[in-house]
Amino acid sequence: MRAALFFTLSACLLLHGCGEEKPGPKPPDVTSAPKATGPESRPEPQVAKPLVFWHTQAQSNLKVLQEIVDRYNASKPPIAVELRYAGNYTTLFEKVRVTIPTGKLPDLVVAYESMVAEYIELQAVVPLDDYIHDAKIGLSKASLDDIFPSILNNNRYRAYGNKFYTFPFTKSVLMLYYNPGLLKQAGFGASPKTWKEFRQQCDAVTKAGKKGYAISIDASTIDAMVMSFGGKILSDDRTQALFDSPAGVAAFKLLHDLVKSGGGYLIDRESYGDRKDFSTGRCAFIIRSSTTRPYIAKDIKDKFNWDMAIIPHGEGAGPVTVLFGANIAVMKTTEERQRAAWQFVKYFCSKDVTAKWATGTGYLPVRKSAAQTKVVQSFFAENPRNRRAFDALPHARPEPGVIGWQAVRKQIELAESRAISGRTRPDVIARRLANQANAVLRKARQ
Amino acid sequence: MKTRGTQRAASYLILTLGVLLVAFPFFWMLSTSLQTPEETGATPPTFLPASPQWQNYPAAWGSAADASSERASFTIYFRNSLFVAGAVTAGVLFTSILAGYAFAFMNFAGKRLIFLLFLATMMIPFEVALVPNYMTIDALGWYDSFAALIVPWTANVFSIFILRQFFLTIPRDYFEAAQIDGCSHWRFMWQIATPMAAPALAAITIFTFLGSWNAFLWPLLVTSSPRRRVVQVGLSLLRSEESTNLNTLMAASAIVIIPVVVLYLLLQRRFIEGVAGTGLKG
Repeated sequence: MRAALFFTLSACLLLHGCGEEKPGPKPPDVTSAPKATGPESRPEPQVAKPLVFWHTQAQSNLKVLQEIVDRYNASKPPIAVELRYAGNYTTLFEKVRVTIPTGKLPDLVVAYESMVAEYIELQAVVPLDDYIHDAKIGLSKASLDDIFPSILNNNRYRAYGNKFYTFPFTKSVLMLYYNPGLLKQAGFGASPKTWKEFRQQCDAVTKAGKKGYAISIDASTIDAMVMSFGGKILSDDRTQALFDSPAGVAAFKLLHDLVKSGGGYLIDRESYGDRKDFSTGRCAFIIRSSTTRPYIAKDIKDKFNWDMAIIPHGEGAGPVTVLFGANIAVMKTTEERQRAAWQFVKYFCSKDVTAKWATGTGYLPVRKSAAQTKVVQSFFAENPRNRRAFDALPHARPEPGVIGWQAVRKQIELAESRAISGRTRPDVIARRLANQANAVLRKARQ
Repeated sequence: MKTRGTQRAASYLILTLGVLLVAFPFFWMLSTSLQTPEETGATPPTFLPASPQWQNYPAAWGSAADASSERASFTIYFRNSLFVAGAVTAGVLFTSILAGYAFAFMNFAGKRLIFLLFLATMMIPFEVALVPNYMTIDALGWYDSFAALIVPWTANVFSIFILRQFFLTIPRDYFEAAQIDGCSHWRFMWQIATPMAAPALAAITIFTFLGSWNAFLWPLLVTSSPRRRVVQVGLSLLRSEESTNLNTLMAASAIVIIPVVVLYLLLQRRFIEGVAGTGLKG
């Protein structure tokens, strides 16, 4: 026993002792810096430690991001950038939150609006307005106007002086994916423009022996439905949730009716079941972020034709969808580092870089002019569906980013499950959700 | 005779079902790790791959390294995890033996109160202590170091409790006899009590090693550079929001559980005695 224990523990220690760690290659403009004791790297005379960028990208997206960072570092920027993987959004948020009391923050972090709102309260993040309008390192009016207004304005924080606290990073929109072949078999020549048509097509496809809409429980889909029925999620003063409006009730009624008639069905929670069913030609519709496109393309290959469209809308309402995605925040460090961090953010949102980022990952370019770049042009030419999400961008609106919204999202998903189970009336579900959401928001504001 | 036979058959049946229930996730992991991406997504699910895709294993090892384009390799994560889990286990065994022995064999003022206070700390959730722990690590200048991964975990009240209970089962006569022969506490603890507590030590070893090996959030919080990354964080790099290659993820998971399985096999017999002996059932 003791021998076994001794063996195991010494093996562990030995194994570690044997291998010397190879330091990773350093960015070009970085001289050897003393060992860091925190994520923040205070500048020392003539020695600038790289800007630390906490992100959540993995796999092929991370490769593209690394390429962009490498190219930036090679361009002799004021301070080079170093990527640091911080898990998913939840762990990244946790990581930032525990770091704030120590005051040793990373230079750049990826963040959603509700996270940023918390960072602002804790004075951990800096507004970007001065940098944006800086004569030397800022952006011209033309350049700012080139960024899609829906994307740009999403980075202004109305509750905090309407200042820019972030800049766009991973942008996508909620899209309807459809199988034209199945629609044709059911007697339809085009994808649905309205939710009424959507219901009809779902039911017809189901009658023809296939399935209609594979529902994955998702708060953003509900938000999008409410907006596309012509409703609002929050009141203008951003204090009241409006799920009990006619549009909110219509959204839950749509799901309730779809499941009741068999035109819609629920997939396993947090699975890719809808994507799987769509990729195998079993269902006609799924609603997912535009970032799903490359994965579906990979799954389906040339097996059958498929396409994307902006999600349907209510009768008398215009097309609208949800704008997704995280942004980059510059954290409070030193003026020199903050300026340098902004310069990376600016580079990341420049025309060619955003085009490269978009075509390499499935996120959307943030600039209108990106559509004119060669790389995006040839990407669009490859397949018409590659430009659908880009075309939907002018109709995209962000979801609320108020404090407490993460908790509200859970309530929305519970309400969606209730609507699908069919045991509660849609108007009751909508009213109850509005009350719960308002209670959560009230508590969060205190 | 007949009833005995039936009873035996029934108990075998129940045990077999139990084994199947426990073994199935492992079978599923191994089977998925050898499937093609199409097979992992097929409906009805694939139980056995048509032809085992052994290349998923080197691919998993490579892709985990590759995916973290921060240019660290999975080999480093694996070595870090072995070192950290090994050191934490050694630390916990050392501190638990000392504390468990003191609580069982020595008399000192406030012994009961201190023991109760120790136990009370078990009620504090990890999340509550997260920020203060992080601030301590930062104040010590240990951010992104092995010390941050190891030191906070080298004392564990649960292990102290297990060992104290085990030491209490050792008759005091042993200690008195040893004392008459001039044996000190120190010597009695290491040469007599500790070897007798081998089953409890085996249980602690496995629990601690497993806990440390599987740790994800703490290592993610206190480290930043790929050179300090542990396997669980490395594994998370194989997942992304939109897509997870189940076959490579399962292949990587199969590799990652090897050290724990080996440790369990080494200590299996003692471990079972230890768990049964302390009245703690998994």
